[in-house]
Amino acid sequence: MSSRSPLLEVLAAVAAGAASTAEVSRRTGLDPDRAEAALSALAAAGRIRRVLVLAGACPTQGCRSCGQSRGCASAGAGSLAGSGLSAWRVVAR
Amino acid sequence: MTLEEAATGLDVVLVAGADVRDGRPPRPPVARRLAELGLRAGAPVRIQNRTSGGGAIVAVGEDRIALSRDILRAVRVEPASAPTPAPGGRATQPGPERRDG
Amino acid sequence: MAEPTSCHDEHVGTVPQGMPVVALVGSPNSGKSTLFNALTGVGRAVGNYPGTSVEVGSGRWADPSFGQVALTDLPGAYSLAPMSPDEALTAELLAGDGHLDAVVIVCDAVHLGRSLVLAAHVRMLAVRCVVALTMTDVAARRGIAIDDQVLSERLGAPVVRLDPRRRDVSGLARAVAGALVEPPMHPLALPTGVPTGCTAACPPGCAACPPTTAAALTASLTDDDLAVAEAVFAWVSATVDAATRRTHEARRTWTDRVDRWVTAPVVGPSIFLAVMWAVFVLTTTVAAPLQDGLDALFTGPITEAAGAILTAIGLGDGLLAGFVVDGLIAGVGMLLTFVPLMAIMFVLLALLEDSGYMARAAVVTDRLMGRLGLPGRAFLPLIVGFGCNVPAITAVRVLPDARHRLLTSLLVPFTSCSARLTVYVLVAAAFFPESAGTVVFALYVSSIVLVVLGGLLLRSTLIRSLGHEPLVLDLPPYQRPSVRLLGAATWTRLRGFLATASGIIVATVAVVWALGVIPAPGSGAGLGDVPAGESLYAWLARGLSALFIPAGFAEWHAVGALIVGFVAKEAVISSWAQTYPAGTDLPDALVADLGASSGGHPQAAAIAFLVFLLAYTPCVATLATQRRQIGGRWTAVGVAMQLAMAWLLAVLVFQVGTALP
Repeated sequence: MSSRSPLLEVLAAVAAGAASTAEVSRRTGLDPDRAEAALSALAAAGRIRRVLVLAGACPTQGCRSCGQSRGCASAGAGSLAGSGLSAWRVVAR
Repeated sequence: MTLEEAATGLDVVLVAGADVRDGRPPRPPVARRLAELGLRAGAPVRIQNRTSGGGAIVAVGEDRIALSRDILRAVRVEPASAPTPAPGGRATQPGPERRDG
Repeated sequence: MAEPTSCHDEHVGTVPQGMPVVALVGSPNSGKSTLFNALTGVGRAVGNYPGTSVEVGSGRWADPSFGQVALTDLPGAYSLAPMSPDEALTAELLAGDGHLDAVVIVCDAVHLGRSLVLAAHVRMLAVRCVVALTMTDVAARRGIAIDDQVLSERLGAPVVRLDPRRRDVSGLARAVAGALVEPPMHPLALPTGVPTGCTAACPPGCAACPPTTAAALTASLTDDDLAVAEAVFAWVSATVDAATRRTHEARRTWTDRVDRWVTAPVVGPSIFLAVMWAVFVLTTTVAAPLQDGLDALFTGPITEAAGAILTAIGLGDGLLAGFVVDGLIAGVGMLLTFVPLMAIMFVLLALLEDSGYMARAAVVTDRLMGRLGLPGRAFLPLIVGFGCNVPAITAVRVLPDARHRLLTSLLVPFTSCSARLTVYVLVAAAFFPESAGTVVFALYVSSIVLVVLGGLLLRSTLIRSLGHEPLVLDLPPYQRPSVRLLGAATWTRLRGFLATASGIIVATVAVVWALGVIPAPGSGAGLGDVPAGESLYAWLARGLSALFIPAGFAEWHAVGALIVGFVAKEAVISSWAQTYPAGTDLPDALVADLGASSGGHPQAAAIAFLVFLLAYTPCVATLATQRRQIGGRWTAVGVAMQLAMAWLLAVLVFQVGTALP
């Protein structure tokens, strides 16, 4: 069991591509309500934000030039994370 | 038995996350994806219903995962009431990755 | 009591001196707006908070417990961190000085953790609070039991449970009345949740005092080491532990029951086909009148107005007038006629995605599309393509894998769009008066065959090693789609389409117009005064028509129409109207011309022509959209493939057709 704080675990999960509350909950082991609270707290602190996926957020040159393709819900082999219209993303600092 | 052979509605437990069949395990990305979704050794699952094309929707706790037939064939399960073998006594399978930093 | 300040001059609903001001805060779907409507009755208004672009509701809440209060419905927010002007205003008002007398925090019992984050932020400030707990019935159904007493102790504020069925808000009113007569509460020190003991009499610079300005609050919430976020989360987590209890495990019975049918063999694919048919029908039938209306608007009043303006400034009949009217305005008009179609398409796409149905559709079509080397979701863009190829290429984005997106984008042009249908109908009726319907049907079947053939061709040559991933798909519970999210997604996609297609459509329409007014080399006519047969357009068409001798339609009207059709298929018929003399019976003229060019086999030539039309490049709007989706190089590959296949098929059809009796 990691000794990291739950918030940092959630942040790491989003950075690794978890895009929905359900994904974060599964990856971190937090129950969904607590996962949502963590996501809200992180969003309030400006570390993550919700983005629209499949909605022109993608660059014209395709995913290769996109800095976030590793966590992108629209790209990546086999990953259908965040099916739906919005997903969590880490804010680049 | 494999997950494909399990009866619909029966509570079963995964014996090994993504087993070897015909000598070929599923590719690592798929195995990792399964583990991420909660399909690991010891996980209790239940077949919700069969889908067109030979696959099934599997209930893992509160979640529902749709699996195609080839995945169902690659996953071994046992009825939930049967005693499960001690962990570590089976062929290793990829567990959830630890991510650092 | 609140003091009226000058910024309330244009306040939506003025606040008489002495009336307490109470604000409602809560997350967007917490039932806050329903509560506001229930409390305010007649006389409520919605408008911008003075000095801002933020919409707030305001009204009067009357109750025996306190007489009347002015109630302000602040925008939904998940926290007080200023991520948008909405949250910034809420933070400003709550942290500010005395504009608000009390706050009702609306908490959703089903998402208590999330609601408590906002509540925690509010409790970091020195403002009177009452917590209203909503959705308790839904929570109970899902096995969540909340202890109001414990929650109230942790929050340091009264908690009032709201039952939607009983519609009784007197408990809330009493709590608010009670809070109003008390001094402002001590804020909580997080994560312990112990009241700080700070009061208005604290010396300046007291380290434990709550932030008194929005700026200070923001600074505290967004600090770099996440200390405050951690403290908030720790307090929320402990509070949820203390105040909630699981009575039974949540069951997703509704979703499960629906899925049993939606993914079942036979029934599932039938439902899927019905949904796809509905998408197809809605995009064509609902969009069509809107498109016709826009078209009429541009070819009618706008063109006339432009003509009048040009005449008024003395340029009425010149070349410039032609360029502006037949080039620019026609081009812009054509672009805008796409907008209703695209908008409806995007709304439907977003609806399918957000409701959760798209994942089920992927399950149902997985096996069939697997044979084509595509994931099940690829069915959607291909279906859309039969309405119009342009939104279909954009719809390719529902596929997660880049190579699947590439393959599907290259196959979409082979789906026969509704613009091509208009030409099919005209030509089929002219050449096959008794069996026009059969001809059109055969063309649609050919379209499907072409998609399959194109897929096989691409997968065996250029896009090899496209393994079919086994399906491992998380099915989220069905949910009511969020209208706001639908609107945002649709608007963003629409903007993207306009940015992509506008330049190219306007430019190509202008070019085609120019070709029509420039005389061909060797013609004696003057610029702008050229009979159709002697224009540069006709000259180019004749030159190119040599390519089509083996296909039987090497005739400049037909070939010219195909050139124009490269720009937009809708223009094919109008180009014939322009290039044949006025008053010609179009079907007769076509039969005569193709009869001549084919050496007496007009029907074979007509079919060859239609096959070429079906298979070759759809239109420049499609190309522009494709380029945005898969890049210029692959779009060029697609064009080469389309032209090659179209030509080969047309020649094959004509040669076989003339060989038959």
